Amino acid sequence: MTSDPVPGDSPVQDYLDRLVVLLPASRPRQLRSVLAETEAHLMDAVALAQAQGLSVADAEARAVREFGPVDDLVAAELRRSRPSMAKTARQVISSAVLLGSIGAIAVGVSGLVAGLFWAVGGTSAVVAVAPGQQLSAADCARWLAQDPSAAGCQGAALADWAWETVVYRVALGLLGCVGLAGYLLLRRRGDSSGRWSALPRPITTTIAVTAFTGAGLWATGMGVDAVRVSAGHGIGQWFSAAIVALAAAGVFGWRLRADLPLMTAKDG
Amino acid sequence: MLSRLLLTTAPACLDYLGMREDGAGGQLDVLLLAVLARHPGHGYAVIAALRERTDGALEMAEGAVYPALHRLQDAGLLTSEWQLLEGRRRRVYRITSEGTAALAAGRRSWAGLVSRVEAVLRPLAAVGSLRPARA
Repeated sequence: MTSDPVPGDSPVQDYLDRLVVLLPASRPRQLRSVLAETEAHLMDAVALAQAQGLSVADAEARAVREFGPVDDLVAAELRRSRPSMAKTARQVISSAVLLGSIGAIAVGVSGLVAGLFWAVGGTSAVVAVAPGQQLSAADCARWLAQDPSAAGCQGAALADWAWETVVYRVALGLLGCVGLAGYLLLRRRGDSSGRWSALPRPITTTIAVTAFTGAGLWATGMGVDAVRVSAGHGIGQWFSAAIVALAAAGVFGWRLRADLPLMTAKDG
Repeated sequence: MLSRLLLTTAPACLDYLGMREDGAGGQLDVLLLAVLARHPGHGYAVIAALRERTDGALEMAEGAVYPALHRLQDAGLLTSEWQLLEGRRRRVYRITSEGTAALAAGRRSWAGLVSRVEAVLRPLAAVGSLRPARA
């Protein structure tokens, strides 16, 4: 009966363990190849040192020392497989299209949520005339011409702004759907070569979590300010965005949580 | 002070940029091609041959040879195949025709560099020895 090796009991095994942890698991063939070559080399070096009279421990320590730091080997291997500038540029563009499309879709969904605020609380639940804001006669005339049934200039202005808030956001969301469809089509076409693949998922997910969390907190702050300054008028435009942004941040955060063990294992 | 700071930080900067010197005066690729031009071999045998031919004077981590071999293979200058040798799975490298051409070019380049440096150093040999100028 044999027991599993204990970390620290063999410099060679520790070196190989570290190599497995540091080399990217996304390139398994490279990992296996480098591991096999390194192991064969270290075993040869240990055998030579033992033949020269060294103990196993000293032979392993010398073999590892002469082979050089594992970090240097990994860095050299990573440099070798570093993608070209053109590929990196394509990855950045793909990621920008992907994240931009998702962001636009989130804006579109926030437009629908703003529509719910409108349906429940009327136009003043979505937008508000800021305290001290002057509405010009020309603008009033235009708004009233668009909405003759409005009670007054302020009511017509709110209806126009609420409409714009909902429709413009939904339109941007539709544009995001087109962008996402284009991205998926591009990826499917270039799937075999990975030509238009996005940046690694932990990177895009981290960007998405950061952006959505930032946007969500900012919109929440603006909504709270609207509650404080405008007695709750116009909170819909902010809280509709905050709800969607924070929900999206939660989804991407959940995704990132699944990727974190892999990322931290690389640093361990 | 500034020069000391530069000397201290330069290796780390070069390492960060992936531009650190290979430990063989920038000639590692040519040396590897030269060894493999004589006969195919696995990494350990290549390193042993390098050590033997330089009397162990080459100061470099043995592990640095493998990424260089992989890079040369990526460039089409070497091919490799896995073989079972002396009870171990080993990746045996073989030089390609492109590798042979690259080795010839490397030799010409090295010979040119040596002759240019030699042209500068030769007059000093006639002086015999260099003495510091007296104040």
